[in-house]
Amino acid sequence: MKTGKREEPQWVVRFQVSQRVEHWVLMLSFLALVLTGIPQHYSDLGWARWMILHFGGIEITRLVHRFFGAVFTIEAFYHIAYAIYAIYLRKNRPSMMLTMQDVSDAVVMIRYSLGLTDKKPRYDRFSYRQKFEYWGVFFGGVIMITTGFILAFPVFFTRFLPGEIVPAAKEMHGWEALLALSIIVIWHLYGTHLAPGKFPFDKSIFTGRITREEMREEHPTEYEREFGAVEEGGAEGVDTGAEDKTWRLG
Amino acid sequence: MPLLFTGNRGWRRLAGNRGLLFVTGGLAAILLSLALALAVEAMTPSAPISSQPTFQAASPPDEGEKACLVCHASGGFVLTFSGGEKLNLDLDQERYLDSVHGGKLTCTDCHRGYGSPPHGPVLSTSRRDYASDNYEICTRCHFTNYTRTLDSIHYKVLEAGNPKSALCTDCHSAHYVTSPSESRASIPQTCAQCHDTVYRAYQGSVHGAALVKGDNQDVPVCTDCHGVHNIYDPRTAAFHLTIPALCDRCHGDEKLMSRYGLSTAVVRTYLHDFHGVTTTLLAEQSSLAYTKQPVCTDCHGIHDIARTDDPDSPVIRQNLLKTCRQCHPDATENFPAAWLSHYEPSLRRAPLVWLVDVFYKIFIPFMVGGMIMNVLVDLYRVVSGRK
Repeated sequence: MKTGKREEPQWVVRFQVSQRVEHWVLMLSFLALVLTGIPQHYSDLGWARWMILHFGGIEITRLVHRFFGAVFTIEAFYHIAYAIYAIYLRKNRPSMMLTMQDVSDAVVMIRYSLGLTDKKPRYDRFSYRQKFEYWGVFFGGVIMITTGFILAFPVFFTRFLPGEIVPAAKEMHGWEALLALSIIVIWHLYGTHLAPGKFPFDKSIFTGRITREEMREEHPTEYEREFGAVEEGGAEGVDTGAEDKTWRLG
Repeated sequence: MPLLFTGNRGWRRLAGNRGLLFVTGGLAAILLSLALALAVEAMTPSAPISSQPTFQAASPPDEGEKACLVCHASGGFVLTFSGGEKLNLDLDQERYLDSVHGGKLTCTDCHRGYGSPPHGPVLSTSRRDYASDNYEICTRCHFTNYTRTLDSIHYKVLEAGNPKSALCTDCHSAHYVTSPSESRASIPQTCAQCHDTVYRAYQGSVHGAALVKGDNQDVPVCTDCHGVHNIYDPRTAAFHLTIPALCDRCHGDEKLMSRYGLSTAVVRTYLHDFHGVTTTLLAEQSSLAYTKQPVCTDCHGIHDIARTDDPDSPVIRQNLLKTCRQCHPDATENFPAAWLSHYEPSLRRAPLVWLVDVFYKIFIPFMVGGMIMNVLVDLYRVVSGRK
């Protein structure tokens, strides 16, 4: 057990390499989809036509959009497959699942922010904010992929679905895109860029690691489970002897 | 201006002496170039766009004209061309005087070089040849319209060697030119001289039938869609892309459409849909871009446009699958319902679409509002110093 001032903080791995790659792919494909998609939705506005024209025209824009749509879809399937494998076969903890704890955490956090209570919520691996984002992308992604495929293959889908599904899919695809964009810009970018101590941005999704201090402060429930209770064994918790403990999924 | 010259030390210090020089110099430069531009503009003559004759019309029928009419009013003279063809040389004087040139032009204004008989030999070998040799006399007054015809497909065809392509006198006639605004119904009949098949299709269409049977002045005639003198090739991609705008001229006109109980939403709904968006964006990209996207005429027909309650109309629900299959050969029964038939989605017409719209119009403000509130609450936390 090390006491006193450290020169080098102890790191724990929060995201394994595959997860970091996933986030890059998600980030870049989302950006590409928004840049090629939103102008199509607002195609009667000047700035949208400027963008489409400078991409090389509507046909190229659509091609790029569908390409990244396919990338997004493949990543979504990979993600679900991996999650099933990790949770059912490797017995990892399904740490993204929403619980009543998250609801009460949200309520407590709002009350704390407004100064109505001194109690702060203690988060597990993922806070309610992060879970909200994850499930937002999840369900948004399901909607976008489904409606996207209907729009890309209308002849196929109308073989067994009523024709009205196509214009309905078009509406849903456009609106959901706006919603997803709003969530990313307002919620995600705020949370990762402007959270205290995180500015310019939270690097952990790119580096894959956070310090033990950060883990203890931001995810105390998880910390206690991994390193033992904070109160026992002093300020740093029980040192299990591993310098750089690999933090498994779940 | 006084401000620059007061002893205001603060202002001078702010701008500096060099700064003031730049400002005044810059202002002077701007004013000078504006003045120069206005002077150039005033001196440049703008091109005339009127198609009216550009020189004085001839005086009323004079002695010379009466002299021509001695033989050519009802003299029964016949010209035999070197190719064997015959041409009766009598002028219908009444009809000529009724025409737009009657009383304004005399015979020799166009038939130049003719003096007392016997007139010299006619070198043209046939009627067509004569027309083709002499029609350009019209340019003496109607140069602007003549220039426009040089851009038209008729001229291209003529240049390629087809002598039957339309010349001024083919459409306007040589001696009995009437004002084009006099009778719209005569315009399709004129084009029918060569384009008879199209004319018969037009006659059967909703537009043509209204014109021919009811002398409806609102319907388009050939020249409304194809142009008057600079008739572009209607088979090109460039023309294809202009069609929605063309139909919009009447079918987007609220006042006009209300006379027939037709909705002007037809254009708007087309432009918002996949096909309309694509054609609009492709047209912007390049007017030569070939588009597979349908425009109005691809579904409604071109010259044979039927009423939408006509059982043979290609766009009514029963026939629509066949129309869609022109481009989507694998389409099945449900496919045509993907097109909302120019209707705005409503609970009655397209309930699923309408419900999606309503849902998101509520859900998005709810979510965005909630998130913004959360952000504000968090900001409050930061600002009030609570970690």
